[in-house]
Order: sequence, then C-alpha cells, then structure tokens
Amino acid sequence: MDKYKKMLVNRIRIMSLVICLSAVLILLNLFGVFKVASTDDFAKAFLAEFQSGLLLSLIIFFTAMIIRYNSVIKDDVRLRKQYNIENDERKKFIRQKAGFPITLISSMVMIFTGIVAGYFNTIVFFSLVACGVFQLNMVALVKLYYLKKF
Amino acid sequence: MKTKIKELRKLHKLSQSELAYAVGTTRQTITSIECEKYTASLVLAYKISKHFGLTIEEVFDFSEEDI
Repeated sequence: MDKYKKMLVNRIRIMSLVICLSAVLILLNLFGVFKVASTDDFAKAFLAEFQSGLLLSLIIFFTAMIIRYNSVIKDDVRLRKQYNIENDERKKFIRQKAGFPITLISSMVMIFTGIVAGYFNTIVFFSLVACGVFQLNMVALVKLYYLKKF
Repeated sequence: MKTKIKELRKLHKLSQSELAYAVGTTRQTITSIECEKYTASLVLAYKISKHFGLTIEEVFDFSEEDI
C-alpha cells in the first residue's frame, strides 16, 4: 500500500501543477495575450470561451480529485478500497474493451491541438475539437454498453 | 459460469462489499460473478476460494461450455 500511497502523492503534485498552469493560461486569455488570426468574431469568441471553459473544468475536476485523494491517503480502509477500485480486474477488462487509454489520449491530444491550431485556423479548430468530442462520446457509449454486459 | 459464492457468503454471513474488500476487488465485480455475467480470472477465483477455505472446483462449477 505504501507504493500506492506514494503514487497518489505524485498524482496530487502533478494535478496541482496542471491547476497552476491552467490558472495562468486562463489569466493570459483574459488579458488577451493570445491573438486569434481569424477575423470572424464568432470563431474568436468561441475559441476563447471554449479554452477558458475547458481549463476551468480541468481546475474544478482536479481540485475535487486532490480533495478526494487527500482524504483517502489519511484513511487506510479507504486507501485499500480505492486501490481495489483502480485495480479491479473487471473494470480493467471493460476499459480495455472500450479502447482505453489510447482513445482517451488521442481525444485529448486532438482537443488540445485543436485549441492551439485555432489561433491560426478556426476550421482546423472546429474539426479537431468535433472529432475529439465525438471520439470521447463513442468511448463513453461503448464503456456503458460493456458495463451493462459484464 | 455457475458459482457457489452467494451461498458461501450467506453461510459465512458476509456482504458483497466485505468479500470484495477481502479479496481485493469491487462489489460490482462480485455481483457480476454471482449473476454469471462475468467470469473471474484464475487469480481472483483462487483468492475467493482461499477466503472460504475451499478449492477452486468447490466454488466454481466448470462445465464443458466454459472450458
């Protein structure tokens, strides 16, 4: 369990770093540091708001995870339960069937690349984000199907 | 695959959560195994059998279809 405890502490550190980076990016976005190449006002506003929304949701999600992990680390029974949940063979099997983790990674890469590309070309931004979101939805549907099946 | 986990649990007065905690899995997995939706791996089958002090064959019913 000590190894798992250390892993959780490392995860907390990484998530804290992501929260800080996200907060900095939101602030830079608010002050208009990044300039969008497109002249279309809708695309400009959509890109900025999508980016802020995504980063804000990341901050909220990671903060909730940090709070959860901190409470889990202090309680040995909850730590064991959390370890069991993460290493449950049925869940691993379902995740594998649904295409984890490669589909999740590729979707996230698509969305983040789309955001960066959006500063140069909004069509690329919309295409990549739509692909990423579609892929995430498909993975979620497949996972739900297998959760029912097994 | 048919199992005697439910009967053994009742005999030992164990809940699904308690058994899951003891063998290092989740309640949902125990439910799935009991409902014959999911076939446990050899390691999990061994852990469950060992927990009840029985052999794998005594807990899990291997039919020709499963093999």
